[in-house]
Amino acid sequence: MVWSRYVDRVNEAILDEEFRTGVERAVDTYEKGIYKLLEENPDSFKYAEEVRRVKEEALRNIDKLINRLEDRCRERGIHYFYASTREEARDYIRRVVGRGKVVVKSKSMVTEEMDLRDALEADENEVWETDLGEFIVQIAGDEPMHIVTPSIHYSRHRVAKLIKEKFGVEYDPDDVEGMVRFITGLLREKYFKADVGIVGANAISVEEPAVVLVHNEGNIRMVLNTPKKLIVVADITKLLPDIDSAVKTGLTASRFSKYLVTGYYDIFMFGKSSLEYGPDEIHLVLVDGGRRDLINDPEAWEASLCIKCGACMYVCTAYQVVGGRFGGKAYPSGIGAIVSSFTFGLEESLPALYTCLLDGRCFEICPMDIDIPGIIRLLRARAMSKAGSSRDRYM
Amino acid sequence: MEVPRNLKLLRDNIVETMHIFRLPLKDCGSWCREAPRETILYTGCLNSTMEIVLRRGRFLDLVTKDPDRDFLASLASYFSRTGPLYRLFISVGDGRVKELPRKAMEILRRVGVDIGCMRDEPYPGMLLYEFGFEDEFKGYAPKVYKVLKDRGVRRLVTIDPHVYELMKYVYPEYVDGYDLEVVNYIDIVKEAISSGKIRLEKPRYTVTYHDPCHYSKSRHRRMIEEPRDIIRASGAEFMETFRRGRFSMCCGGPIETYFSRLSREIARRRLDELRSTGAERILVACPICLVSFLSVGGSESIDIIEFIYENMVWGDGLV
Repeated sequence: MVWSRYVDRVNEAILDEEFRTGVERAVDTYEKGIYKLLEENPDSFKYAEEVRRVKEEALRNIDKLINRLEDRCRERGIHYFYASTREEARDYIRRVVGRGKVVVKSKSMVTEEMDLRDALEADENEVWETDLGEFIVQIAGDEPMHIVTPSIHYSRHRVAKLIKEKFGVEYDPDDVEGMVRFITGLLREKYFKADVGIVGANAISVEEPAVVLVHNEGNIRMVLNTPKKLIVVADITKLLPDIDSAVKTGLTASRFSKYLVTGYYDIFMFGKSSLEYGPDEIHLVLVDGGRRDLINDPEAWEASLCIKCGACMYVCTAYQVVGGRFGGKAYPSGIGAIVSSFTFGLEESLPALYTCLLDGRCFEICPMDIDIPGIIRLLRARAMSKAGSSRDRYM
Repeated sequence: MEVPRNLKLLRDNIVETMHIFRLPLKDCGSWCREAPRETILYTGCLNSTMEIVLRRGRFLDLVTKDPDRDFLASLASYFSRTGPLYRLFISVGDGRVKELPRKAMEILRRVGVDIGCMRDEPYPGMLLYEFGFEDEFKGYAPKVYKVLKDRGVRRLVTIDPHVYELMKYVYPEYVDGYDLEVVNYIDIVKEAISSGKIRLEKPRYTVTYHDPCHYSKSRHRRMIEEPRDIIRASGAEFMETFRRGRFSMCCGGPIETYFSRLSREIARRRLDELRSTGAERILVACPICLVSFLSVGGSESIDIIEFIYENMVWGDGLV
């Protein structure tokens, strides 16, 4: 069942011409852009090496960091919640949000993983994704195809059609600016109406408790500042010891996403001042959801170094054809297949592990130097070993 | 745990018969006319296997548009269980992929390598290794090693990236006391060209080159320039693609077993890029790449072995 469903979705994407065109155009721009940036800024890999060292150290001390973060949050009057599973995290956030509220969200893959939007909507809340790509995916009832650029598979024609369908407003597909203005205009209202803001994290600084967020649209800044209640959701691999390393992680991620400098870098310090314009109530939800197993895994742990730049996806041979249909939920391609093997289990992730061509383009570009094909081969072996060997069958 | 039938069949075939399609081992070396020697050309049955994959693909193209469906999986498995039926596929046509090693033999003999071969060479188990049948591979690799040793083989010359990497770098991790020397024909030919033993003529056609992943992105030894040196030595007009060297792109071949449609799409996409150079011939260095491109209509694809064979000056000098 898992396999045939997966194969169907892969083949569906192959036959969908609009989908393919969208993905191909985007990956082409990003692939070339990233190589160009790295060529022109050869220090990027060195920069990344530094981040890798700090991240390795952080992962080794993950329990200490988590405890310290909890203390620091409590000292600062932040509501801290540690969720062992994504369900626990989701339920906590549902309780904090309540019913009948307006919620504005930034793009966050860990919330995607727990189907947070659906859960909050089921509680009769009005939820708005404020990242442009994620907004498109939301109104289309679709799912994100990339961790940085979620609507990679949408052409401007498809977006124009969607806006007409959902809002009754007609746009010339070539009038991209007009469509963007329409969406941001619609969202601008929502920010000020919103009761709750929900953001993810590029990195969490522990010692000076803060969240670092890198974005290109300015939406996150609005989500951070306008609603009275703010919920920050992050998985435990996002923890870094101090503000220096957290900022560096964010900067490195943006470089490998093709931006030497992105539009916005936000450092949001938890409970720093009275924050006249900021939220009155801040919740930090830290999610394990299988990641501790990944961190402690002797063969696959490297995957928890991932800083979510998405470079490996843009250059991935299979991703370039079927986009996020290759990989795990909310976390595409090879690295997604690995992480999902821990967050959703090996059986669920098996088809994704076998979609990988092991050709290693991802390994070449990865700023954290994660041996993605190597780990995938080992996880396949683990799965096959569990499935039973041929010897059992022929005894 | 749900495991696709094709994968399990592959595993069982290899473990039980040492052949992916349950064929007699002597089908692996149909190109071989020499006796085994200390040095043998070893294809690991790859060329013969890929010939079948090519023909099976063409057959499936005739009977279906959706090769990943279940009934076809059963059809494929029927073929797999009754291996010799595959002979139907390989008994017709020119068998170009299968006969590539013959050309390599001729070239190597011309260069002066004292080389033999094994008609019944065993499959080295690459897919066991890559598809996660680690437990099986641990038992299988020493078996293959023993077969080769029992024939008095000491040195392997390989003509593709997969068998080369596997035998040279992976086997030593799995076989105690492994002492086979593994040499790549590309190094031999390159050396022979630079020492003046052989000479290549300028081809009548323009060329581009598709890097096989296990040369260009190998984690053991990267061969990016070596094949290009051979191409350049011919004086050929040579155009490169954007996705080359360490950023080269896979041909789609590795997932053909269970994601055939995706595999084809990847091949098609890469073929488009190679064609966009305007080159008249696409040079490949791996029979899997060759079959991937041939399967999607890339009939201008040739192996570097064929390129050397076609453009080598055979007449002058002596062996």
